[in-house]
Amino acid sequence: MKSQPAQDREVMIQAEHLARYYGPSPALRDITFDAYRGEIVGFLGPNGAGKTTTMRILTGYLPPTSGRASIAGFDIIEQSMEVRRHIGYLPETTPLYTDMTVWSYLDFMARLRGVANRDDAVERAMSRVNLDDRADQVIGQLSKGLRQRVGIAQAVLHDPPVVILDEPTIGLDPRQIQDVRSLIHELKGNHTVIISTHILSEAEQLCDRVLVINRGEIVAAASPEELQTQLAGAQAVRVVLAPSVQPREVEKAFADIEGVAGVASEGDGRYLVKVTANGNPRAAIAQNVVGRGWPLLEMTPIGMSLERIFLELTADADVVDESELDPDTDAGEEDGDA
Amino acid sequence: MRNLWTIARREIASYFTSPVFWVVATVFMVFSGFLFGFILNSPGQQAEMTQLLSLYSTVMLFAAPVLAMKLLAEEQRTGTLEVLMTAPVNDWQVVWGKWLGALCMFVGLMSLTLAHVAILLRYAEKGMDWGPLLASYLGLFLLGGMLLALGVFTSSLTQNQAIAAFVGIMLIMILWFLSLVSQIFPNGGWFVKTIGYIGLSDHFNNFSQGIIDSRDVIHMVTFTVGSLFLATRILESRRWR
Repeated sequence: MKSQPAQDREVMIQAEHLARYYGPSPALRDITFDAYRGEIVGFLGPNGAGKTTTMRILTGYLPPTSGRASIAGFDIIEQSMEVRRHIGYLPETTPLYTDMTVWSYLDFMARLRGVANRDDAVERAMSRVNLDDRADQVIGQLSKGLRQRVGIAQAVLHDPPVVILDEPTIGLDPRQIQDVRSLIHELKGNHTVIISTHILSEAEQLCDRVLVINRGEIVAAASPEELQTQLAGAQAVRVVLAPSVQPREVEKAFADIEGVAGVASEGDGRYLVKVTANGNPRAAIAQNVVGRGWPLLEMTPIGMSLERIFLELTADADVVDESELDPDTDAGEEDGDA
Repeated sequence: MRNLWTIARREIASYFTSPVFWVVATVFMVFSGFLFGFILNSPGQQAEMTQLLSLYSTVMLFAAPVLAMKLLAEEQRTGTLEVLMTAPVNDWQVVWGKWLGALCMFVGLMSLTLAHVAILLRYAEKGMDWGPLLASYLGLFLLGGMLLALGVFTSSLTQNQAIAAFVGIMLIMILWFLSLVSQIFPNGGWFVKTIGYIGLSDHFNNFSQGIIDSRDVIHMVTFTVGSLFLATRILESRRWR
């Protein structure tokens, strides 16, 4: 839920045209986004899309080939040490020193991060992730779910304004996944959280905003609600008028209607009206058509499932266009036309 | 400095839970104890601690790379290096901190040989020749630091501990035998002399004779700093690859 308009809130992460090449092949082409204080932003995309690379750039582990980014106002290259003080990071594999106890590991990380009140900070972090009774257990003997919690505790130990978690629920059982998700949910508000995932429902459940990343580019950015709207509602409307109506006039008339993103004539009086996110111009279109006295033969919303949006978005890097619309709806409508 | 010591401390704690360390420590103690007893009981043999220390130092040629092999290789394998390198710590602090941790363990191991000194002292009729002994310990310390630094360097090259140790031992062997070049060509020119200087073995021998020569100290310190510098650069290069 977007409680406040974005411009009123403090920008914690700013990324501009980040690109990263491994040799000649690009892992990241062009990533631009902002994240605000108290927001959970999800990177959604297939494996190898560039989610981890983006996170590594933000944390200062990898420098970008081009582009710039800042965290809490500090440049990731010029002020790397400041950036590192302002982030907590958990890499995808949850790397921990398996020979240490939970307490000694967290104490070690607190020392490295220069936390002032170490014992308090460690205790607080452990209780935040419900590990209070595991202080003296050796990390190597913990289950994967518990290790994940240790990893998250490590990331929030110093109360950083930005927390970056790479695939925090990967490899966990359903119960552990729920645990970790509710943990992340609790981080909301105090921290700006970035998580990456390739699970749609997770992004929907956790994030205020979802950035769909594919082949190193952001191919869509929307709130889960907006994605949800796309799931349930129309993304486009097919309008069929009598062929005698001039396409040019129709295009002109529809373009002024609120919620219409574009009009394409398909010949034979068929028009595909693209709808803006959250827009629902069907009533206005109908009124407009009737008002002009054009014979309206048909009007059909063309839906797209979220899975389909995701698959199509990530199948190639193009923006959503007509070819990505649901062919079933298309076909059913053709019959009615005859 | 605080970060350096934080990292060193973690390394030291981790050695105590590492089977590899206990194996190295046991082998070293058994070997040095055996040598000590053997030389002490040989009739007509002078009981010289410096000679013993020089023998002990040959054990370190193998032990040091094994002690150092995990330092960076293991962090790279498990990915913990990524957490270290995104914490507010400089790369050189990571490298030097790890080396310092290993050096502390090395010093601990070597201090066990003080038991041998104590035994000799108990039975020595003419007392102890302290000069060469202290010089030997100083040499041993510098040699240990240098061998461990070479080990840190080979450990930065790979994720595989065994490879790190193997390459480390090979490197040290090559450096060791370089000293022989100047013995094979005693009348060689500057080139032979330079190669001989790079070699390891002659430098330590000077210390066991009680000679603290700045050339030897510079040699060992240079190798130490150089290896750790290279290891740092290799860590940094991971960011750019």
